[in-house]
Amino acid sequence: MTASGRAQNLIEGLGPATILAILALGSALSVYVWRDLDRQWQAEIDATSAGFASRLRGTVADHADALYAELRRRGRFWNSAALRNDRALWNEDAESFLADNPSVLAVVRSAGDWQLAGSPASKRALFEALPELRRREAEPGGDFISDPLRLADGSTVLGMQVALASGDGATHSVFALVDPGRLVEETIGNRAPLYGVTVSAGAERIFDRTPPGPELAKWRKSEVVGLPLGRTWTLETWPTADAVPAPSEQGPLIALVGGLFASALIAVSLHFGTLAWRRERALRGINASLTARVGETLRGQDELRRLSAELEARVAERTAQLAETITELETFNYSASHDLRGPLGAIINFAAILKEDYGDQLGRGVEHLDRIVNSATAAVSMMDALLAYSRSGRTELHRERLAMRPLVRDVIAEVSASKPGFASSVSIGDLPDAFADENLTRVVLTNLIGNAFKFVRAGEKPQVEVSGSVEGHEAVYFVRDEGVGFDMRFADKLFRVFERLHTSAEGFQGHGVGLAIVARAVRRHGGRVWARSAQGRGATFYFTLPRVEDESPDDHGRQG
Amino acid sequence: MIMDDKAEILLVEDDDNDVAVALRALSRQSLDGKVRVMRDGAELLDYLFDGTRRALPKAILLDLKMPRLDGRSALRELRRHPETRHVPVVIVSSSERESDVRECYELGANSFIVKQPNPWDPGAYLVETVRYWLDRNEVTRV
Repeated sequence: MTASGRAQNLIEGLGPATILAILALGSALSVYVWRDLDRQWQAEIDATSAGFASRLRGTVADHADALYAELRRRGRFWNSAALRNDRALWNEDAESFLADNPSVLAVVRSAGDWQLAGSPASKRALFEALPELRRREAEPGGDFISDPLRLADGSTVLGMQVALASGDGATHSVFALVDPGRLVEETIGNRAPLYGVTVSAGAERIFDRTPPGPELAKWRKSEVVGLPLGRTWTLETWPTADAVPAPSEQGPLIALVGGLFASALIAVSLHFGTLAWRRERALRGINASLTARVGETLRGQDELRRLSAELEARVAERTAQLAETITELETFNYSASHDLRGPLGAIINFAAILKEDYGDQLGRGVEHLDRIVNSATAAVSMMDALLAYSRSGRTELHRERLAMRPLVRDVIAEVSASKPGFASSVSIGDLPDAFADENLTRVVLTNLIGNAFKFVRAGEKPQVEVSGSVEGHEAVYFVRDEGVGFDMRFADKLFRVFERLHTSAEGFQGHGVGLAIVARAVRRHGGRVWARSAQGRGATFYFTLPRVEDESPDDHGRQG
Repeated sequence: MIMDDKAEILLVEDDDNDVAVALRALSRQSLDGKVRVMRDGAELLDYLFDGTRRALPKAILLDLKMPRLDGRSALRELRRHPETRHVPVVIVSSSERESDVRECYELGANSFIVKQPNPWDPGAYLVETVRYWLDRNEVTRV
């Protein structure tokens, strides 16, 4: 499959539009989840921040109240001490209060005159604040915490006034100047978790603590904290990172990326699922059609088998018919030959009788009688040859292990019976045994050796060699002579019935049937027959027969 | 069964040519008086079993292909009858088919001779055969 084909197949699973739709849906979903997570986180931050601010507010308020209560307690103490006119105690205690509480800049007692304790800076601050304090002194009730007072050096202070009861009925007050920045710092500033706080009065920043860590920049919420000082103070707080159960800041990103990835995964899964499903459906289709086709093929095979059986039956029938025809032909051939023998015999006999009994009256007519006798005799002889040929095709084959050497000797003796001295002219070489019918093989050898004896040059004795060898599954035999030979141009005629390459005029009698019989007998064994020669230089006739297949060595051992 | 003295050999042959050649050859050897010619198997059986008492023939020369009753059937009949069971029967036929030869011997033929034209001495084979069986002096059992 080519790359483009593969890509085509991949696309076939799910349309690009569908994939994009799934991706868009997945992306939208993950963005929504991302936003929602972010909102939830922010809400958490807000809640934490609000809780922290509330705690802070409480702490600052408590501290301011405590400071105020302490101041009142001391004021009453100082008041009673002043009644006893114990000035030293007053200064001493006021100074120790100042020293104990760093947010208190100065404490003043007014009883007609102002007695001051504190640093020179504190005294200066007090003087700056005095007009406001005097204004507030006249208010009924006496006790208050002032608004932040702006001093000349730019700093801000709080004034606290506590009315003091006195024995003489006059109104006395105790004033304290409190550094609000210090107050807040003392209250909340040194607590470790609080990294950044800004306390301001109106637009004025009175306490500022810068966040030291860069991670705190992530806390974006500010809280307006109403301190119970009669004013709204702005307090920016950043709760510590561990104050909020923090979702990892990668959380939303993970949600986004995960969502995108998941939707991509879903799209791809759907794509391949659809692809697989389609392929499976296609495969089912193919399977069904294949099954159908196989069924057809099987039916076709049945049909073919039936036809084949029919054909075989027909072939068998035809073969039987053919065999019958051949048998009929052979029978006819035989009967015809046989029935002609009677009349031909009569012609011979009566011509002979005529010649014998009346020859002296016939003069030269005797010669004609001789011709009649000769012709009829030739006809009978041809008939006999034809009958022999017919017989060579009709007799049943009895194949057996055939010892060729004794058979050849036997045939030589038989053929040379009427030709004294010829037997000794035959040399016998190797002669492997054959697996063949003895009678037909005898006919073959008789004809071939007979021919070798026959076709000798006038006055010569034959020189004949009979030999053989095993080649493959065949035994190949040959009969070689040094006789007149034949013209190879006509070799194909050699083995046909009534075909002759030599004439009676040359002195070689015959009907041209012998080699036809040889060929037929050899072919009935599945063998081959051929000949080589050159005119006047002898001839070699070859034929093959099935060889004796080796039995197992054991059998040999037992037989040996 | 006493037979005609003169007919010691019965020749059963339907072919005129063969009979003519045979009679000529026999007469040249003065044997024609010893041979009685019949034309088929039926004539042979009629002759043998006509109730006349005669001497049994010394041999019967029997052709195979004949009209009415052929040689085989005649041979079968001869071997079936106790009187003729042991009369020598020579089949004289132009057939040299192996099956014919075997069948005739199985039916009880004593010999099988194939007719051969002989331009030097026509009918010589028959003369030889007749002479052979005439010369046999065995007592033929009844």
